[in-house]
Amino acid sequence: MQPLLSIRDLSLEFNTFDGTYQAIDRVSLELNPGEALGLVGETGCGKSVLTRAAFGLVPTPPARITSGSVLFNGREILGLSPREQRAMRGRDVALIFQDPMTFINPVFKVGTQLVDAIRAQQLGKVTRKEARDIALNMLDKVQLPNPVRQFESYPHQLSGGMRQRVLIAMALTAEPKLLIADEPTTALDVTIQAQILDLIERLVQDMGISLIMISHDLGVVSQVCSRVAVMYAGQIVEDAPVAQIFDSPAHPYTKGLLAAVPHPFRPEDRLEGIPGSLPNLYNPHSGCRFAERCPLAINRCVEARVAQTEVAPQHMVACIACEGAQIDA
Amino acid sequence: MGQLIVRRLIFMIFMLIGLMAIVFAISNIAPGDPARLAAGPDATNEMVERLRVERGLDKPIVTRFAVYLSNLAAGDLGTSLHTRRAVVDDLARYFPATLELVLFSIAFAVLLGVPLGMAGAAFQNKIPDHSIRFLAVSGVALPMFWLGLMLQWYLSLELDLFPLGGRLGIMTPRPETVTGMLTVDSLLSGNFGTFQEAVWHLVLPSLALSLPALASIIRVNRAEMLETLNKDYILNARAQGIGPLRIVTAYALKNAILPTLAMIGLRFGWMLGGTVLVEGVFDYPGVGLYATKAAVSSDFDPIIAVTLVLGASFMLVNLLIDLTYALLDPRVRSQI
Repeated sequence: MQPLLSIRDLSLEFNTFDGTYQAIDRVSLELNPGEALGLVGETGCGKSVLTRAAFGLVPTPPARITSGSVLFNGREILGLSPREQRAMRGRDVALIFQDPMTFINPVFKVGTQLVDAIRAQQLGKVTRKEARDIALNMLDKVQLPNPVRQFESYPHQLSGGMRQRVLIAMALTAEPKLLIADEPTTALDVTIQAQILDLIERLVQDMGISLIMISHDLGVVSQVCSRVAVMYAGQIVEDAPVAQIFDSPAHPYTKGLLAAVPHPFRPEDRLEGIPGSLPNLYNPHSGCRFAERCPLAINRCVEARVAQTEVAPQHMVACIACEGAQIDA
Repeated sequence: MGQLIVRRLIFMIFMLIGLMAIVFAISNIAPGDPARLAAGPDATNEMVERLRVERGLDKPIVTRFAVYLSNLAAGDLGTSLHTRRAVVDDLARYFPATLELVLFSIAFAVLLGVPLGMAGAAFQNKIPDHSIRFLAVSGVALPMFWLGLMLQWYLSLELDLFPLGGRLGIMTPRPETVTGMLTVDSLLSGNFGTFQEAVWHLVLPSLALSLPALASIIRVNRAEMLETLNKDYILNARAQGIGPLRIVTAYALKNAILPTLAMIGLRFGWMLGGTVLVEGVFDYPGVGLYATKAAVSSDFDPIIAVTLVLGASFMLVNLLIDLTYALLDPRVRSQI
């Protein structure tokens, strides 16, 4: 089966006043049609930049893609013209973002923004009237109460959960092949989080859309995704089916991440933090970027690039300590 | 909304009384004896004193201010010493000319400044941006009166493209006065020749008056656009595949224009003040020139009246700007 999205060896750096910041270091990632992948890692590890850069949403300059390729449905999309990239966005790939408060334009009506998005996604082939009907239909599908009234509302008149529903509606009207959900529930309170997650899960399944769910919440990922890729400081350290990650994490960083999740049945346990902080990504070494914080680190970790090893079927780890090891699933 | 306007208008009356009190006080502290000046150089001391009592100039300043306010309420702004006409009549003659000049200038500054600021941001750090910034910096740096003189010298005297000054040529027939603004009146009477000439006379003074405003509008709008283009909702619009033209001219501009509007209101006020300089250079018969002539002859009633009218215009424009805010930003609208 041809993967829907295939990112190979992608590297990206930012030219800043302080020097060159290596945000993404030779990342490879594949996503099959219909698959739901969780992309996990702490804030600033490059999750958002990776997915945005693949679809031309990171301004260049200051960013620069230094190597790699991105295939979408078998077609190289990295060198596309801005016009071609724009035609893909919304139609083939849709994004929803973290904070529904800031991702809706405050001075335009919800309806106007929906109609604009729909007309852009249909490449201007629908009239405003038709786009309005599509939008109202979609608002109904995302279970926004009173869609006709909300259509005429301004964003500040809607609650956070309602705005996120609007953004989901905006993203999914064209039935894209891929949805990138960039921490879609982080800014919402817990009860709304669950509703929004259910909604995304249901729509994605109904429409047969592949999903990349970016999150630093392992609970969210385990609920929605079938596979998880763990990122640390611009590198992918582990990539495995979701059950594997939770049952037998292989990379020390993944283990640390899981140890830092509060456990509902053992509240008396102290939470384990990972000592140290994110490495400086100006002129980093070519080895494992977690080495400075890793309890298992040896000299070889920082000397050369650490290759991925398959420790179990479909379970890839980039760690010297795991080389040659096999985990029984 | 209606309530807001009424409240603001009432507040404006008090601000105007405050403004008048300040100008009234300053003009009384200023050197020069208005009674002697009014009586003329050949008057005897006795004649001067008689005039002083006649005009109430012997009373204390507070009494005179009270008298001035009650006269104002009756529509009397005093008499000008140098034109020997009622100040109200002078204002009716000169203010429309100034209003026309300032409206022309602000329209020019806004209609050119906003798109240029937008273009500068859209092409940040590329050649269009650099050229626009060059224009903006020079606009802020050049003084109005000097710019006016240079425009006159080069575009009028050297190239003979525009008239040197005034509002119309001597031989041109005046349109019937309706608004007092020659461009409007000539259009109303269907006289396109006069209209064209009136516009031609407005070009150079408008340029001189509007360049500083143009420059600051460009700078503010460019900076605001740059900031807005980095906002999350712009990223979302791009992620939907919405085209760059619509993003820049609608999604970003409608947000970025709000701070620019405040600058436009401020600049309108500066322009009203700038007419004193520019009308002098271009011998343009508006209230600026009227006030200048009054000032050199210590003719205080016109000065106070001009300050009053310019102050009221400034306040009205800022009320309009605030209302435009509400029109553009639904969040502001829901608060009033």
